[in-house]
Amino acid sequence: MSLVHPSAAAIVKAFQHRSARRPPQGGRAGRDPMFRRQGGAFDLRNIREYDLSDDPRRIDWRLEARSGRLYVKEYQEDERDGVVVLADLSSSLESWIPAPTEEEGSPPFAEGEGAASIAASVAWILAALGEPVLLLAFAARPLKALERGRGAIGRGELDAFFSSALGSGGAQLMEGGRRAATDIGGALRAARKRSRSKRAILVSDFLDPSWKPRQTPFARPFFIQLSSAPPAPAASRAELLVTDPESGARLRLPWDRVAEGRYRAAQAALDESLEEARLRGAFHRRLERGEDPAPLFWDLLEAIHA
Amino acid sequence: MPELPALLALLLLPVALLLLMTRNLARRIRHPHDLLGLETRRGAAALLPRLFRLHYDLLFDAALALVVALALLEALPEGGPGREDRAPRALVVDCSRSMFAGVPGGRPIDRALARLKEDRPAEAGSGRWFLAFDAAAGRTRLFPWRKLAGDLEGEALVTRLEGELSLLDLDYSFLAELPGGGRGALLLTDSLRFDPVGFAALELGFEGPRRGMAGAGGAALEGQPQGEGAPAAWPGAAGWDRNAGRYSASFVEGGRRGILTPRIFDKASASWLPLPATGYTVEETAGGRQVVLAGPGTYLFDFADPLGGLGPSLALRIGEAKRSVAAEGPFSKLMQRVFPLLEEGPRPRVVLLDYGSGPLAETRGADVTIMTRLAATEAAENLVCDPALSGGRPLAASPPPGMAGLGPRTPLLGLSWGPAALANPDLPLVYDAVLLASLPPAFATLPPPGEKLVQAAGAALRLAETDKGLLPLLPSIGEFWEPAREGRLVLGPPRHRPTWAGLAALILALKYLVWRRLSGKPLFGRAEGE
Repeated sequence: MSLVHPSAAAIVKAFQHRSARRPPQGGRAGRDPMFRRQGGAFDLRNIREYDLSDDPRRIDWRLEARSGRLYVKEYQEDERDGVVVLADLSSSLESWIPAPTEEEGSPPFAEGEGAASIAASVAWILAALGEPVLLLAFAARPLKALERGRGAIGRGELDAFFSSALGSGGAQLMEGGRRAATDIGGALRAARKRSRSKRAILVSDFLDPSWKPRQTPFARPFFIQLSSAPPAPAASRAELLVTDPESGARLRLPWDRVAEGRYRAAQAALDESLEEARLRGAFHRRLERGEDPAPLFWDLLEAIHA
Repeated sequence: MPELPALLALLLLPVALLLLMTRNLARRIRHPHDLLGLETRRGAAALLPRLFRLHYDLLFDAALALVVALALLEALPEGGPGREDRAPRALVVDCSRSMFAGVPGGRPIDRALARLKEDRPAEAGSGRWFLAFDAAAGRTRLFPWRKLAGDLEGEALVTRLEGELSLLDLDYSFLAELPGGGRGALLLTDSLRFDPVGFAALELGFEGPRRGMAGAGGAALEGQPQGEGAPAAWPGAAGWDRNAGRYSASFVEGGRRGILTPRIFDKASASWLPLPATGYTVEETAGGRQVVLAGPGTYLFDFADPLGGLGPSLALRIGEAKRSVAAEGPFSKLMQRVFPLLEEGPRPRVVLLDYGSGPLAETRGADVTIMTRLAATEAAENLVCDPALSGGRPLAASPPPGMAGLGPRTPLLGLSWGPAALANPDLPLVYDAVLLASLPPAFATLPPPGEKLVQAAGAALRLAETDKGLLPLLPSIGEFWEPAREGRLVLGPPRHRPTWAGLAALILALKYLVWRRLSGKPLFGRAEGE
């Protein structure tokens, strides 16, 4: 099966038919007049007479006052900047999977492909909507990049990209005999070098203690946090032998109230840092393991095109 | 406690198995360590609390095993099941008087020593004790084997025991002073008067008349024909014979007839002097012999075994026929004249008082003080217990008021008579009964508490030095006739058992509280959904 989520095509189709006259409720376009214009940039491209096919909200009433005729202004499209999609393929996400698709009965994804599928779906949707996309897979270092100016990316192309990035089988991303860790900062810097885009979509679990969400070189960051719930409490004696997928270190600990409390505290601290970024204008959504990603895709598109 | 490691290892085995099981049955998951928070800390600061949380139940179980092991070591008998081969249990040789009865070589003590030599020749001196009467302490005690026996064996050892020990009655409850509370000990004895519980007894056969004696004085013996077994004798009566008007001591006898030799105690030389042949006569009675004596004194009656064994040596105190008396009040003076053997004199042994006549200084040291109250009506205050309650004996219901100044340890009897009682011609019988009951005893089988014991002609015979003179001590009758078995002697559990139980309960409570704490439940009370 393809890494692109089955709901991606339907989302693209629905989004293409979205009426410009009726911006989605709750979106910034529905509230801020500054965004009631064609194009997202501030560079003026053209002034022409109003056409019945134009959105009446785009009429420049100052010109109408001076000339007595209806004109509309056209601005440079900012879509040409494109979107950077960064896919975290570190080993800490090897067991993360989204909700099972209609093909239940067999595991939909191989090890690590759950996280890749989110990034692949996002990239596929954006490319299908005509956004230039730079797809960058990373773990402890940038692994592979796929750049597409305009036009769709084939599903097979994305599958091949991630298959290549993940390596064949799963014994991939080994660095110095250890499983790959996460270097979000390094990936963002590498993406910045390769793209002028203001928008970057980071699909990760954000388990990188050396990186802070405010250390983002992109003006409009979009954070998709792939989160895993704490281990389920055992009915009887709760003793865990936890192997870290990245370092391979093993930790034997009692899964009691103390341990669970500490887990949730650490998770809350991570969420808090990402929420701080959201208050500064960043996009942040948390996607739990096993959760349906379709609503997230729609929210992301609305935020990008707001 | 040499067996503690083995016992502890046995009890810790399930704990170790549980540890292995939990380590192997731990859930294995792959999960990033980043969100495990402080669990990823390194060093002892993180490791020790984590180890405790991991294995707190095993730690508590191990502590519980230790407590149980220590408790078991105390509770298990030294010679308990399965331990005979490893730890020799305590062996105790009974050194009561009956163990030495019989002819040399056929005495129970001989059989006990032979049995010891056969069973445990290599363990001489280890875990062996003598249970004997300690004249110095005035009670039964355990003597270590080495202390009494040294290197002696056989007849030499028996001779030493006879020479050094007081052959009196024993209190077998002192077996509890053995290590481990005496549980599991083996007592080598001739015949027990109780069922042993918590320890074992090897009965080697009683040397003497079989059980079945009824009454004294008249002395009816049953169960064994006369002339068999070691000589046995027991005083039936001793003192002034009012009917015959003479001093005498009568005995009940059984077994082989002993060669009777009376002797008198000479206080000056603290020795027994033989009586001249003219100083006494021996008369045959139905149950034994009666010795007619010339006067009061402390006598020793030896019933020597004609076969050379240890015969009964019975010391008896024969009191004076006459007793000095002090009377105060018209009724008491009248009552004094009813009894001709009561004579006025210094240091009275009997004091008769009328109620309200005031205390007398002479009551100090008296054997009894009888206070009589003459009531005008029958409804007067009754100072005598209901005869139905006192078994017919006149007993004071309560001390009469105003009796301060009576001598210490002076029995006081208050009698209250109404007109009907005074009209009863048998009224003096009450006083007679009280006077007879107050006579000093001829002997005792238990040493009076706190009294010094003096040695008289050998260690075997002891006299208690009381304020009323020397009181001979005799073994109980069960040392001469085989005693009937009744009751049981239980060597109880160790004294520290409740302590161990409390400690175990504390550990379990702590384990429960830690479990509640670590599982997120409130320490006390119910959690939601519980």
